[in-house]
Amino acid sequence: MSEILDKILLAQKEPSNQPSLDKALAIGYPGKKTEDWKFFPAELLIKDQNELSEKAKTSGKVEFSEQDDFFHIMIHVGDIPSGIVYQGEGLDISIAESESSEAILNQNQRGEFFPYLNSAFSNSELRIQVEKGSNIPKPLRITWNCSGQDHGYFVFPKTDVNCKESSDLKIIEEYSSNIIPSPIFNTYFRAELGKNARLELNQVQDFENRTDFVGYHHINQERDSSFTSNLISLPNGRIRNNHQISLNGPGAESYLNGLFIPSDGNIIDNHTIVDHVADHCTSDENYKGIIFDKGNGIFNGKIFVREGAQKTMAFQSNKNILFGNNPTIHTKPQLEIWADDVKCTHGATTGRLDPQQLFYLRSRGIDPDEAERMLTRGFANEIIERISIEGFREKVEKKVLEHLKEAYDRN
Amino acid sequence: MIEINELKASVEGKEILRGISLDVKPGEVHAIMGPNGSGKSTLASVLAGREDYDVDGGSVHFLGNDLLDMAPEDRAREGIFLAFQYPVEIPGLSTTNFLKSAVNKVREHRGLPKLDAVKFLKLLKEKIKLVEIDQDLLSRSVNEGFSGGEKKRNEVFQMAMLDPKLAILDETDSGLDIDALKIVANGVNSLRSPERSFIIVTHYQRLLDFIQPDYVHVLYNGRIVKSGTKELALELEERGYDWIKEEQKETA
Repeated sequence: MSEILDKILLAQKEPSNQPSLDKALAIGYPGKKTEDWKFFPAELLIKDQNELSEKAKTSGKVEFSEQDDFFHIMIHVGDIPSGIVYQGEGLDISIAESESSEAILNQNQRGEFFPYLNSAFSNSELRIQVEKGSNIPKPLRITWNCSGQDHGYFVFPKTDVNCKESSDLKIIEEYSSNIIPSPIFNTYFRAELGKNARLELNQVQDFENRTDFVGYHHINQERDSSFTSNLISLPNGRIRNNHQISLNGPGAESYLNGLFIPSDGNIIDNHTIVDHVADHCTSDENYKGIIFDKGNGIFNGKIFVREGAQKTMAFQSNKNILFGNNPTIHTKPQLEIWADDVKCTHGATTGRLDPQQLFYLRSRGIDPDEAERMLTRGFANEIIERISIEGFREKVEKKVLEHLKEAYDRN
Repeated sequence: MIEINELKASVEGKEILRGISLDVKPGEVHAIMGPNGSGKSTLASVLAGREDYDVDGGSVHFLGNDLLDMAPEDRAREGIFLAFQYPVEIPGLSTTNFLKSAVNKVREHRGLPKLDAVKFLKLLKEKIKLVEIDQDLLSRSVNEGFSGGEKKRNEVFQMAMLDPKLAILDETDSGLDIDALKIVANGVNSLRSPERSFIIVTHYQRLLDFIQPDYVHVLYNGRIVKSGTKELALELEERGYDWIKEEQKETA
């Protein structure tokens, strides 16, 4: 794997954070023998890129606009000078110098390679602060776009969100690329939720051109805060998502919803960790996969309930539907409980569409083919309807329908 | 309307229907009664086209056409409706949404114009009164989180929407309290007409206090062993099924 590291170092610009790079190098690039990377071929990400011999040197920029339905932050990936992006409505948005490696170290307790790599090379980050008690009236749409040349093998979007006490924010997070072949996205997104704060994070992974993506979300929740993640993955390439939630204060709630629809040689790998540190917290995790011919889906969900996290309610479910000849799914729920007064469930199911449901629809006059599509749509809808942003939810629904239709027609 | 002739069916090699013959004319209501395991629900399922059953012999003609040759969706379009004994839950799909497709498929087949959203809603509001369901319930996922009574009422509501020629009710009364039973029966009664026939499969005579059948048949061991008028149902209520079983033993 050191060969891969050499290639990365050769092509990326000089690291802005040497201690993080040292950590990354010490951990090493993940390979098949790395337990958490068994099913995701991280080494292929680099091999499939064009050979690069020059150092990356793209400058980026950030634009802010207020639209009817949302605030829009558009970021062209690259070096961006520090400065204020927007202030008002309880929001404070800026580009700031990236945090020190110690901050990442605290988050990245599992010693993962990619958060350190991001920290090493992202010299600046998007910083969003929501003032105490502010209910942000419109969702914040954050678009990271990769265009231009000379990015290196990777680009490193980095976002830091701080939701102060009793604030309320909804985010639409998106990534796109105009470059073929696209550099690999290595993203890092951290959010701190203060007491009683609420954050809804919506992400649709829907790349127009084939794009590989390795993303990390670290969410820390204080007392009575509420976090919802709605993650819709329609991969065109290989996607690895990592969500790590720490419920640090009593009464905090976390809802992780995922819908992933791989087909045609694409891979989607969802790893989640929900860490119940404090008592009286709730987590509810719901990931659903629709896997078509030669698509590959992975779900690995860990729940930790620490000693003292009494009265925890932790639920986890992964349901998958398979279509066609050679779909693959690896699902691994894991539960570690150190407290004795808790309510935890987890489960995974994988199979074809339910024949009883199909017959029910057909007995009402609906064609078998349409009945299948209706049931699949219903299966997907259960996740899509968790998105609370009207207008956006309908767009997502439309995208998912188009994606499903294409996959059906190919099948 | 429907002519069933010596119908034989099995599931996984196990013979369940051993030669059923039944002739239902337009406008008639036939009740099929019988002890558990006699084949009542199998008959209903085979007529609707459930694929878990193998038809081993006999014939069924519906309005002159060979019913057993048709796919379930074609039977529905021709005018057969099955109210399920155990209505299926379908998360993520609302009753309203799927019924709109179903109604328009059936209408298209019958040479009627498709209903637009406004006309569909009008029809829905009209039919919903028959079964006293809350309209909000219909915008929720099909049968998900419905009570037993709500599920059965939803079946009768769908029946009203699809306007079938032959409605088959598979133990629609089972497990209902008296109020829900009355609502279901009233719904069915208001759909009775000289053009529409009913086959009502039931385990209990109670339903027939509210829906007056023209004929009552007793199914036992995969055969119709007794047919009569609604007085037969009363006799069954009084005497149970044991005397039927005894009679069968004697003739065998």
